[in-house]
Amino acid sequence: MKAKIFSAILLAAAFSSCSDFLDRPPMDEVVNNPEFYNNENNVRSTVDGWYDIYFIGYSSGWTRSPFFESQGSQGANYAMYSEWCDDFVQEKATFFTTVAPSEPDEATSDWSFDNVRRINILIAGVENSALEQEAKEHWLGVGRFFRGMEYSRLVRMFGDVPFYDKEVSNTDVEQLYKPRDSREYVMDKVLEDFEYASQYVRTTDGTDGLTVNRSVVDAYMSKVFLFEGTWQKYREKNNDYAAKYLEVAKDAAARVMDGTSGKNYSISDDYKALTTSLDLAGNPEILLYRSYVAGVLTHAEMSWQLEYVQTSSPSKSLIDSYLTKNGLSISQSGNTDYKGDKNIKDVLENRDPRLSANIADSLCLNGVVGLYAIGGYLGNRFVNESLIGTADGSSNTNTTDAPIMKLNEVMLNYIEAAAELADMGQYTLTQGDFDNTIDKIRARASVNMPALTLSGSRLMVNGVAIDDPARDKGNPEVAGDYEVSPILWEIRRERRVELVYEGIRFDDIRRWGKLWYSDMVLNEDVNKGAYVDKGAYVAEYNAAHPGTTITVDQLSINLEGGGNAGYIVPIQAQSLKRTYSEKDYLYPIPTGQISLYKSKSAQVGNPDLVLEQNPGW
Amino acid sequence: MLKDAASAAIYGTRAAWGVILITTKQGKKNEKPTVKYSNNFAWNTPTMMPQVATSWGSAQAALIAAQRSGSNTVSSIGYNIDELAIQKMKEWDAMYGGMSQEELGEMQLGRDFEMRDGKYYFYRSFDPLEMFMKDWTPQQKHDLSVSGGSDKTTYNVNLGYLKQDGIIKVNPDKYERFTLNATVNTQIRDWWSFHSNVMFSRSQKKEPYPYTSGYTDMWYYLLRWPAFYPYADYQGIPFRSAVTEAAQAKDMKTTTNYTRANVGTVISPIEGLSINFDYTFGLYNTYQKREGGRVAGWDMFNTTSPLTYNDNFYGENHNRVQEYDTYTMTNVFKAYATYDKSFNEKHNLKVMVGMDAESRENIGNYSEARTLVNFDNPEIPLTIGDEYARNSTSAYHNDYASAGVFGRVNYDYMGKYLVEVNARYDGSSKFPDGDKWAFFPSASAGWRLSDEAFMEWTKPALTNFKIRGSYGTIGNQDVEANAFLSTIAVGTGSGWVVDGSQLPYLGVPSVISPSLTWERVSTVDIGFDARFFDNAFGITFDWYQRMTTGMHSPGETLPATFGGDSPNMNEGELRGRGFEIALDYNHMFDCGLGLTVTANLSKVREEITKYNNPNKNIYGNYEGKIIGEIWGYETDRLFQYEDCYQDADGKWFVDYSKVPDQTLYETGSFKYGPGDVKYKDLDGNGVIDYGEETLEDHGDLKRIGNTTPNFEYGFSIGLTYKGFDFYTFFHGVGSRDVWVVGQTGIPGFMPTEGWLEHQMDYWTPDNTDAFYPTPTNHAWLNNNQNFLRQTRYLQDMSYLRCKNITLGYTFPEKWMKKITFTSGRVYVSAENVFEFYNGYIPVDPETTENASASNGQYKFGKSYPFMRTVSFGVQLTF
Repeated sequence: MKAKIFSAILLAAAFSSCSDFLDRPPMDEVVNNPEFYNNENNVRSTVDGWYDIYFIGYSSGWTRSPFFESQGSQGANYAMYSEWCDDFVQEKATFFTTVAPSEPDEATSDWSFDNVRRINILIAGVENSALEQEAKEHWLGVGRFFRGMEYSRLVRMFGDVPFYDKEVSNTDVEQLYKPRDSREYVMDKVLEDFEYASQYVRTTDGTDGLTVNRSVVDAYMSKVFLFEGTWQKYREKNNDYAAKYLEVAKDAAARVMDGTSGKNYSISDDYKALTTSLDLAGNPEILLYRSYVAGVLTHAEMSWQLEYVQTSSPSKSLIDSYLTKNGLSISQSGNTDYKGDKNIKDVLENRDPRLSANIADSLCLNGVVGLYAIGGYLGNRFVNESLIGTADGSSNTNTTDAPIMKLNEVMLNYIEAAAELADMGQYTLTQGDFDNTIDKIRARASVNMPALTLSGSRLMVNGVAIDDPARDKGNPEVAGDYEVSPILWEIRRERRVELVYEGIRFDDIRRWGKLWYSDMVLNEDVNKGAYVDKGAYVAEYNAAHPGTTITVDQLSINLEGGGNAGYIVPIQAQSLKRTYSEKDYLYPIPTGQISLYKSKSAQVGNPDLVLEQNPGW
Repeated sequence: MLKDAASAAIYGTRAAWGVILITTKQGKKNEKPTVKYSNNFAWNTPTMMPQVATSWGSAQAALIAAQRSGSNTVSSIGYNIDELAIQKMKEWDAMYGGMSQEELGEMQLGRDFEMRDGKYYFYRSFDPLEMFMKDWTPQQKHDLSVSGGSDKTTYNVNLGYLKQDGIIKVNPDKYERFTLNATVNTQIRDWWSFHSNVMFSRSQKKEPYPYTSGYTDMWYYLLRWPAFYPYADYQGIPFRSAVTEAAQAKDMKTTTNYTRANVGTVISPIEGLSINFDYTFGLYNTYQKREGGRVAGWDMFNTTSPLTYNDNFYGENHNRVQEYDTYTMTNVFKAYATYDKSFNEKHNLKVMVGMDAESRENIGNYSEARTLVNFDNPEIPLTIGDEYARNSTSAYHNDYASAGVFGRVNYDYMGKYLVEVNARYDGSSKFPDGDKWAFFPSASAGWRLSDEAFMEWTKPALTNFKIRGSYGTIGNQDVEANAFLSTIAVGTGSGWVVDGSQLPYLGVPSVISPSLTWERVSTVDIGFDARFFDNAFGITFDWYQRMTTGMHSPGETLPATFGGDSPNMNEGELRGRGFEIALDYNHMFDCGLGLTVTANLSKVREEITKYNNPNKNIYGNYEGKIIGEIWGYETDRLFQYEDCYQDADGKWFVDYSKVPDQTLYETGSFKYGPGDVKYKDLDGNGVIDYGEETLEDHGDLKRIGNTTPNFEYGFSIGLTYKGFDFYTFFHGVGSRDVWVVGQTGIPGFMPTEGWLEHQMDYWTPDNTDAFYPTPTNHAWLNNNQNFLRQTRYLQDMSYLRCKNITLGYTFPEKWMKKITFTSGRVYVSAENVFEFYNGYIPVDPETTENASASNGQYKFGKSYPFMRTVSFGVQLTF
């Protein structure tokens, strides 16, 4: 009997398990529910996770950044390959993509909407939250700013793209498979986002220089719409849209420049310090930068230029675009400042100081020094001389801060937008426009180049009319190519020189419809480096380096014409040169996506679900 | 091993894929105390590993690859290659190749390396594996047990000790394990018994602190560089390398403690009824300490001046101590009652009802402190730098619980006709409210034909013959946590630094499908057991089909516009079919020779029978997909000059007017030419392409192999004769393919780095009949140019391996008794002795590395080696 009672009690205990035994909500993850967005810190921390997507700076670790040679490392504000332009002479050409990939691929076809989705989720969350009005508007503005950034990336790469301003359900076939919206439709939406952001984002928020504020929004607004305005003008030939967007770009830039955006920025004294400082905090020119700290986050940008052979290095095309100190182009007749380019000393003599801030003062040739540049000119814009030999300046432990958005770029956006508007008869340029932009940049203490003065449809410097014989008068071999006006030519030059190796040149030549600049056959100066007279070089080198003797034979360089003197031409075989075609203006859509739409369309019997490939792919 | 659904049914929802039962040793009642001792002394040596090619062989291949893209020199990290360097490497080999590294001593400028034209060239040859590893490593094992029992109580206590020395020479790794296992059973009353078992195990492992991890660990770097990479010191200072890193590293120590305590009681209030209660608590704890520091030497990674002394290759973030703790606590409770009753000695009935409940809690702790006060005393209290505790993978806290009630009825008629019916009602915390519980039935039946009168005539030969069948469904709760709940993870490194540290961030809300519910596994099993000739020979056969329905798998492929991974749904159906045959034979010959032979063969094939993938993309899941299939091209041959033309610059290219067009795989810098791979144009459209990559249109692609082992088999032979015993066991896999990737599989994966010995038979104008194509830059890609997945370079991983050979001798009892023992045996043994294996890449056929995982892509075959073992030992009882 005892046994029976005992076992009955035990059995009863066993079966009467708690009803909540199986309720185990996650302990170390946040549940995604509407209340989440009622806390401003949650919203802020969500956005913090997006910064390194859009503001990649010098990237991190051994990963290449869009600055200098990117080798395909992506960044939402940059071209996939910064080498796809005319600033680099290359040992091996970085070719344009030949075949559309089957699946989205970061380097060749970043057809991804992951960021669109995450941004839309945040926007909806904030919209429905109980945040107080001011905070709600600010964070809505920040969310819409990032959506504008993301869609401008998609449009910049692919042209027409499907626009979504809400999270799409995985079962909403009509939305998921909808055809691409026109780029104009999408850019109008982007404009709405930027307009909202520009109105409501706080003028000050978080740590200065490291947080998105209204000035940052306006600066990017000028960048995004300068791209789209010029694209509309030169690629789409749609002057209405061009004028509308260029106006937006110009006004946004003006708001940053005159402080309407809420902060006053000014040009800093030291040009090279912009790209080599250990700490950019407090630099008056910097709107946004990425901070690097030893042991926390480091990069290799300086090491790429200091410890690694430059198989992509400054091209003749780039070097020749630097003016001489008198403000004239090297080929302008009567420019006695220019000493020619037969010797590196001559190249650097009397030149715009930004040239010696960008390249080393001696040629670095293959066969002579370990650290050589394929074209002879060694790029060093990111090298901080005082850090050489320290951990901060070597390996992948560099800690120089990366500039992300600077006043000089905003000014150059302004003047270019203004000049393009003027070119279309929509605006009249004034001397004030130059005074407030290029002339301020040129007045930088470490640069000190003469100011530009406007004289009708020409620009003058120190009373001399600028007339660059090398100005692009339209390439007859390129169908539909156009002549660049003297004013635009100088503005574009200033942009190229001032913002060199910041990863924007490929997008610049694309939006200008000048992709042929990067074609090694149509633009031979891309495939050229320094001029070398082997005999003279060896004699000079030996004289300057007592105790070492180098010989002509050990120079491992290909010279134009195959003789002993001429420009370095690394790529000889025609088949190894990069050439462009019309299709390269837009990135390809992954073919697997296209076939997915095709089968879905057949499955649900809706012929409208079509994803069209870009022309030529 | 219980595989069929009916027998697994009472073991609950975590048993969906089968159950392994482990019974612990117990003493016997009324046994005098017995002491057993056994030991084993073993030596291990690696089975096989990829070897670096000769210095000049690697350099030559690198240079040929560079010449293709118009360059006559190669530069990589701190070394350079040109024609002269290759010549000098050959000269070095001829002159010094016969000398040992000890004889050669330090690196000598001029002899072993030199600087020419501003660049460093290295000529001296090393075998990095030899610099890093020992040839043989010792191991020993000791086990001691005491057992016995009175008429009410039995006990058994086991003690074990294992010590292994690792293979690393420069900073020896080590493993030690202690175990204790104690069991006591007692009969309290005739209706009430009690049992308990306590198991404790503690192991300690010591390895060099890893400065690099993941796919770039030491083994990866060890084989990454060519043979001329300098592994000797220069001016008393080493060069940066995996060897230097390991040699200078402090320790990574891992301690694992596992405690399991089990108590239970059985009450039998009436005849035939027994009620069981059983509770087990388990605590699994690991503690790992990583003692960081600095690695210093000549910086070979400095391309332009490798003779730069760097006192801290890996940076200040390795100047630290890290501690990782994990705790896993499990509680398992079972209560069930069984009732046995026989009627008329013919009808046997057994009924069981019960419940079980289980909970598990996982905790992970992580602490890191930077800036050691003293590198020789790496302890957290002795640091003065930043501290970290948040870590996305190592700091966590989660739990789960499951519960179920079950019932079972067994009935048999005279042991001839057997029937069993099971039912379970299961709940799991992993599912949402309203969907936590589900019902799973199963049944089985058997028929012992050999007991039937009409089978009488078979009696002389057939001892026993039973056919059986079962069918059942079980729910699988082994699914991802929070699979139905959208969550937001806290990320630690946003990559955005403010005030000197990275901002933490909140991640993207996970995508979930609200309709997610249980995945069900239904199994049909049909088989028979037969024994012949007085049990001397036996066959067991099983055929089974396992259908998984409502699989938790990514839903239909969504377009990129969705912006996330397709959420898991109860999507698709998987059918596994297979069979298993096992044979055994025992015979004692009159001469005293005993023979035991066993053999087994099994096959399983899994196929997706339903999936919502309308375009049937061949790389996704689709109806008809065989799990593990590999799609690729059929290799035709290598292109020769006859297939090509020369352009104005003198370069050779394939002439596509003669052969199918392969331009789809050409890029600006890569065009097919002589010595490259020619693929077969299977669809005859004149172009090598993949169509739409769908089942309907896959161009020239076809299924070229399967990564799943097919036809596993094994056999053993045991012999005994007058105290001697011999045993050997072989295991084999009939077919398995792997597309090997990374440096190991793809010559020229990174052409300026090390080439491997097995890659040296490549095409040149003088060796047109080569196995491999001409050296080419494959630029870190695993499926391009000459190495698109294809038949020619698919690794055949099938093998037959001798897993064990043992020869023992048991001393005659009368000898042993004289020296107080009851029995004694000595033996010698060898494991992984030899194998039949056709793989052209020297990676062990039993490797479990996943060639398609992100790590495998880069380091497949470059990891801690598999071992062959020889050993001896004694077993004593007294």
